[in-house]
Amino acid sequence: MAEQDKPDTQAAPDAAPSAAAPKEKAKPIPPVTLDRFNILPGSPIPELSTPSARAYVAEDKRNSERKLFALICPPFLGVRTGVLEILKGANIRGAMSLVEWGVVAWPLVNQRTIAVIYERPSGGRLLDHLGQINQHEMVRKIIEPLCHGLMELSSRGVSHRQIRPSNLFFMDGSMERLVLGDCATVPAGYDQPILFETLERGAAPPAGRGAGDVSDDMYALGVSIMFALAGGNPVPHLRTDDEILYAKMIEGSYTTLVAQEPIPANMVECLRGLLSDDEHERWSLEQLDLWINGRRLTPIQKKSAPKAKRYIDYAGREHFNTRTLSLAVSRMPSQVDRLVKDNLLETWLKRDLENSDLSSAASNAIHMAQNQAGDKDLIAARISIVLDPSLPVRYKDCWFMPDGFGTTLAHSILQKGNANTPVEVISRGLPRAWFDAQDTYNPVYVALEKNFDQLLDFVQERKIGYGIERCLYETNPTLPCQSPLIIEEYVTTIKELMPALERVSAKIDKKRKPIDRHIVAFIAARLNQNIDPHVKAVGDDREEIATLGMLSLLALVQWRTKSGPVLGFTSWVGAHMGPAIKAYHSKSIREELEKEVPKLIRKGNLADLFNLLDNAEQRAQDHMDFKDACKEFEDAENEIKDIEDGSNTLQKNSSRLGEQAAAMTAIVIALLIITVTFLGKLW
Amino acid sequence: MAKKPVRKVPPKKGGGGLMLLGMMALFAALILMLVSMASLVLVVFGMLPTFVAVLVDRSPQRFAFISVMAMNLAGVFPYLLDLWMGSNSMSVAIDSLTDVFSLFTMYGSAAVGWVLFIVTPPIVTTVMTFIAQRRVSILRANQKKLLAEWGNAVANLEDDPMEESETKEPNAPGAPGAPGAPKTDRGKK
Repeated sequence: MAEQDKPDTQAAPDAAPSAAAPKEKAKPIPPVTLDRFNILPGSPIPELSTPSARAYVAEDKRNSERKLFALICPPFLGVRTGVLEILKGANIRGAMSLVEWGVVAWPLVNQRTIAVIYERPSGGRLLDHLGQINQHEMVRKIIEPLCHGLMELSSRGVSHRQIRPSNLFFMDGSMERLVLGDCATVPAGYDQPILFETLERGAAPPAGRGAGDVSDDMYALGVSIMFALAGGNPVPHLRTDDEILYAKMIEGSYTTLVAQEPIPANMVECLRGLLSDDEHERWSLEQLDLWINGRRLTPIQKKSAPKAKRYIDYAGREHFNTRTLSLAVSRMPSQVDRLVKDNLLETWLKRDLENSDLSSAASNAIHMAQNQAGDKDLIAARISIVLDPSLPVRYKDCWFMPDGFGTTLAHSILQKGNANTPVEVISRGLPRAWFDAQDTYNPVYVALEKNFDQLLDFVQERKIGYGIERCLYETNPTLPCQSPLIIEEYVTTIKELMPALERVSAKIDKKRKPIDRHIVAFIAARLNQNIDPHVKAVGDDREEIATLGMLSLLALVQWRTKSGPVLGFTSWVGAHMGPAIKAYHSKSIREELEKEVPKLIRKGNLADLFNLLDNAEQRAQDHMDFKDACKEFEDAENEIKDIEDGSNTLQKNSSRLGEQAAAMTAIVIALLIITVTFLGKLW
Repeated sequence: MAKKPVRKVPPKKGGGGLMLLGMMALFAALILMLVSMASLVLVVFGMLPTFVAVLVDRSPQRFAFISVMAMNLAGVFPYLLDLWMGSNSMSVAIDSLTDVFSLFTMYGSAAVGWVLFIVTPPIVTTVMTFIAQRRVSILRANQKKLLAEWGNAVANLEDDPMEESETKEPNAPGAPGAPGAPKTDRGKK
């Protein structure tokens, strides 16, 4: 299998550069600079490329004699940037020296991505020298340096997860110094052929294998040693992944890999220890170190899985143990009805496997699935979890170890264009069923279970800042932001967001909104602070609140990341402040704000812009004044209506009033005349 | 629903009021006859327009009658005073009643009463209408000002977009506002 992988994995990097060669010759591509290093896009090195990352010649501008090469990471996969940071300049014996890494604008893919510069090995891959190493030198030349390399990595909290003969290099031509190759350009275990993965992680597709730990490295080391001993693939007859898996499940890894090959007696103990399928029994680095130093340990005895008295037939295959049945149920969920019908599975588990606990657990799982939705996929998923809890969560085509869900989700979204199945996995509570089925306590699982609960909340909330995008960034801490606005900028950390948006603002149509679902989810996931009020405001149905929410969120990011003035981006954001300004009722305030906004845009500070537009005092005053104005308008309207409606009444009233006035006037005049006349007579 | 039979209320006749007035006039005339027959004659003939007004004005308030009576009395009073201050004889009364100028004064003043009654209501109506129209134009001008400042939303209170937002306003990022801004309590966890 691994040998089959080899031509596949190597052919791809080989073929592409040769196809691109004429173009490259026609128009030489200028070198790409990363700090003091130049990477030559026109000089690929197929023999150093990995299945996912292509290698190119790199030069040190200060020391042209130095032999370097660069691996260009695929921009759509989460790079292990944490590991890169640890390994940079660490100079670990037994591991290829990581000289530098960083984000570069890679012309061949027309976008920014991560480039990792390593010391260039001159001795080639171990894969190319299989069979050339004497069995007596195996420990000194292969096992010892790799063990030390892994110990160094382990002491730094790093698991390699890419140990295979094609990723082990001799740094010298005399094949004396073997080192571990790159382990950070792709997610853990992503490039590993299934043969090099443990039974559990190997059952998952590359994207779902999970971070794993040093015990997975020990297993891969065991398989690599087996390759070295056999001078190639020890199991060439196992052609497909399923054949490898079933063979490992039925026979065990050691028997599967070693049975065909005569191996030296001194290696039996080591290989049994490294290839143990029981994670707890598998040799640790310390045990391997002791063995290297001559201390002999009791060989681990082969423990086969409990075998049933009679087989159960499923999907045309006879199954004597729950492991193969579990895998078969996941592979062929359409036939799960056969197991459920007449309690066939429960009966087989109880009578033939003599495991009543497992029988009742299976019964519970079936009932739960039937109550939940009742479809075959769900029943199959729940049954397969119960039958073998150590295997990955398996639902439809979404198979993953719980610590590999992030990569699975990213793979589903970025490669298939949707995340329907991973979302169903979460909403149907399958991760919880997997954790419930585990019979050993693992503190890592507690944290993972909590994370899945949180993901369920995110999936159920569909507003901007939540949903599947939020899950994507929460579960893939190194994945670059996938917003179409900044995807080419390869923004992996919150600190890079503002500068990227600033760069983008220079060339983008300002009518486009400066944020989208991906950017908001990215900010929410990467900013280590509770920003739910901001995110909820961004998702508000009212446009003015959403606009202010966007501004507050971006201002917070600018302040938090100390990004400094971002003139272009502030101008872009400022062009979308219409709804926030319109939220003020007063036209004079709006005009004043419209005058002020351009001044603040010139400063490039989003916080100032936000403070201007979201002056709580001014807003409250505006609201109060508006209410008063409304009342005044309404009163005036009522009064006008009264006057207009009462014109006839007024006419009538005024006529009556006029008559009354006439009578009063007449009386007054008469009294005056009488008084004057009387007084005139008296005088 | 069946309509309730409406009982027809007979229109109130001004007969009662007129009767009272008549009684009062008769009583006054009786006293005046006992005191001064000449005065009675002068009043009866001098105030004939008032008696006409009583009959003509059928309104409840009888403003026309009051106007005419008041002005008519003002016209008759100087001659009554002449009578009371002079000999108070029937001949003086008759002289006054037969003098064209005195009759013109008495009846002319009653006519002024009528004129007052006819002219005053339209004037009052015109003035009041003018005041109302002035008020309407002031209110319209105010409304225009409000619309200019607050927009059409001011005319429709229930469409106020910020009505709910007061409670749900997004928390501002506290820190960015910190330098020189009064939002120190915002954005805190």
